[in-house]
Amino acid sequence: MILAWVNGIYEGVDAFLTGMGTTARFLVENVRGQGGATAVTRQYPQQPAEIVGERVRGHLFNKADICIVCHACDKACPVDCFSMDGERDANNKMRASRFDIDLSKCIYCGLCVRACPTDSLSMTTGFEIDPHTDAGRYLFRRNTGQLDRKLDAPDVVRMAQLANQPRESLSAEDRAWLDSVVDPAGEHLIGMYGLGYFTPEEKAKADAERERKKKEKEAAAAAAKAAKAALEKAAAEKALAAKEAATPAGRPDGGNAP
Amino acid sequence: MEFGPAVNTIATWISGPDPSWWAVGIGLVAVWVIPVLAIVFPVAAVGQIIERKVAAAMQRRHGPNTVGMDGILRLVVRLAFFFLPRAAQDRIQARITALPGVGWTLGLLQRSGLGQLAADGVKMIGKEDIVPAGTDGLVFRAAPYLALVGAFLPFAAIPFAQNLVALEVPVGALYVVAASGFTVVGLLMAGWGSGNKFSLLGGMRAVAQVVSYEIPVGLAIAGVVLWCGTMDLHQIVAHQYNGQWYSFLGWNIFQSPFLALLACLLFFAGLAECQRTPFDMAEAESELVSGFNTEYSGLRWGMFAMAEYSEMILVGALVSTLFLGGYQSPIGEPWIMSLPGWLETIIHAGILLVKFTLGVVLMVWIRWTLPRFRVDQVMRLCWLTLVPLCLLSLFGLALTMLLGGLAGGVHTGPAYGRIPGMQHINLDALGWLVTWVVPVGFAAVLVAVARRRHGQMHPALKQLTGGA
Ligand code: SF4
Ligand code: SF4
Repeated sequence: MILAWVNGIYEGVDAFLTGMGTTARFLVENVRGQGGATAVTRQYPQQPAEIVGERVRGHLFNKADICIVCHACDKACPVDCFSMDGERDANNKMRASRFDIDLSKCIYCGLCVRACPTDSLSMTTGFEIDPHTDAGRYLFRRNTGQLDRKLDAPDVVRMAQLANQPRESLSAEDRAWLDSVVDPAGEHLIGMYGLGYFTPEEKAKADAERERKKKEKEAAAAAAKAAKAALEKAAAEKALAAKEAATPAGRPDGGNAP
Repeated sequence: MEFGPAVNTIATWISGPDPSWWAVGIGLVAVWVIPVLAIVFPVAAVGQIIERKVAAAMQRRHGPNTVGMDGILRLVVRLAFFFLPRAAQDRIQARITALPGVGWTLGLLQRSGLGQLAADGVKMIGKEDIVPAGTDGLVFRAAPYLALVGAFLPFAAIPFAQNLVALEVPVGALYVVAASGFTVVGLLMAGWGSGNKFSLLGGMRAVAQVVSYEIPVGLAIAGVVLWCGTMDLHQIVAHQYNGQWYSFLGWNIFQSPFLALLACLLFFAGLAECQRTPFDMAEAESELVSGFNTEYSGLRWGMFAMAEYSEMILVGALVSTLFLGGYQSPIGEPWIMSLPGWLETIIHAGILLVKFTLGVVLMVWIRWTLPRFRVDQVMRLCWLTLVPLCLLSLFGLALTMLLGGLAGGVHTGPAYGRIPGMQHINLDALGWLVTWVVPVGFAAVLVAVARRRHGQMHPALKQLTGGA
């Protein structure tokens, strides 16, 4: 019985030391980064995923020129991502003048794509909205209208695929193309709340409209200010005249100077 | 009970030769509270980062490496240059970060996870302090304080340097065990006050476990008390001074294999008293949600975490004090003793800090190696392994002392100047060899016989270790 007890202790200590040795080996290997034993965690925004499945449900993309503003996607969406305006074009067809998808709300369920009768709405494989990444920067620039050209659906897919690979593994051509659509200097990393999909003309129109409203507002404010200033000036002049009448000659400060 | 010399010096300096109680209080603050705050608190805080980093490295992860001091730098720049536009502030920040060394330091702080420490602290303070409905209000609120008190009181008797000890309790070893018992009251109160059956189970488990493991702790300390002939921690440290440049040979752990075994047993029993994995019955998140602290949040939860890490430090400091020469350096101790007082204090406190930090690292290492025991296994380990081993070691130690004394091994050895003529078992080389060879040889023979007889490994264990 005593021998069994001693044996038990021996085995316990042996197993304990074996375990401690194993963890210590992992620790040392990981710290020294040898034998392929470095940390296997992918450092996400800096090391984007290399492989994205073909059928990944990523960001939505709308070909605004064939969208008929039927609001089917709007009704299908369980979280109310959509807001859109439309108007009649020359052929009396409905066309989108504004089409916003709030990607910060979207749950990537794909119901809107199923509902779309014209197949204008589709899902890309892009999933990146972190503005520290190329893809996220692209979205940000597109959102704030800083892109000088509109990307078509294949372009968006290409962008998403390229941006999800490490930069070093890209061909020079791909890299140059990517740099033309993303913002390599990493300025404008402020934040992203939604996505606006404009045709360039509509965007220009919306911008002009916004500018016009802003100017109108400014003009109104300036007019109000001028009117107020005039009133005040008149009141001040009146008060001054009254004071001058009451002030003894030679004391232009009204007798208030120390 | 006496206050340490430094406390008395400060008190006398403040209010004359017969110091009043408040002067003594100020002395206590200077000698106990400030060192505890300055040494134990930061290590307890950094201990959490050590834990996460070590755990990550063992599991091939990175651990905290993203939160840095960038945010703090940005805040400082924003506050200092608030009159400038944002873009200019950003440019100033970029300039500061580009200064030689600054960017590197910020990066190091970020990768080492120390930035995470600050962020976690702020988060913990900022969190809502929830007292759920159905709790026993006062008990629930008071529990974290008791746990923290139990973790900090014992440091009063731990000597950090020759003069840096707040309480010179003649029964210091007993005091440490008794004062750390507060913690378990805190845990039980937390379990009871939460009004939650899982918390209560956790609290009950904590009590059952801590009370059981106090027996091996007590027995291990009794071994040192037997060997040194005193319970005063300061004198126990003094006892481990051999006056040679190879001062580590004076440490208790090298005196006898029984003392070495007791040191291991004390360490493991202490680990169980801290409620750390593999002994974290009281938390056991796979069984009890989070045990006694399930209902806690914010700063109150933080106090439990702080208490846990402080207790780890306490175990490290206690093992160092009793077995590893306390604040003494392993080599060249006489030279350190000859330095001026303030320098000696700093060096000694630093050495103790290194020792208990190593103890904390060892505990973290154990935590990420072993899985959690079952409740009955914890109890069996205590009562059927640790306690008998402690008793055997005590017996062996007593025998060693008896025979050593008969052989004329008792000397009035060199000890610190403050304690003249201290009794010392000072074995010559031959005696030392005999002390080690005989018990170790006996144990080796016993293990060999046991392995022959019962060497059949448990099949599951054999499969796991590949039959090694
Ligand atoms: S994918 Fe789902 S959540 Fe996202 S916009 Fe479409 S319907 Fe709404
Ligand atoms: S369902 Fe298709 S066509 Fe209809 S509004 Fe939405 S995107 Fe346009």
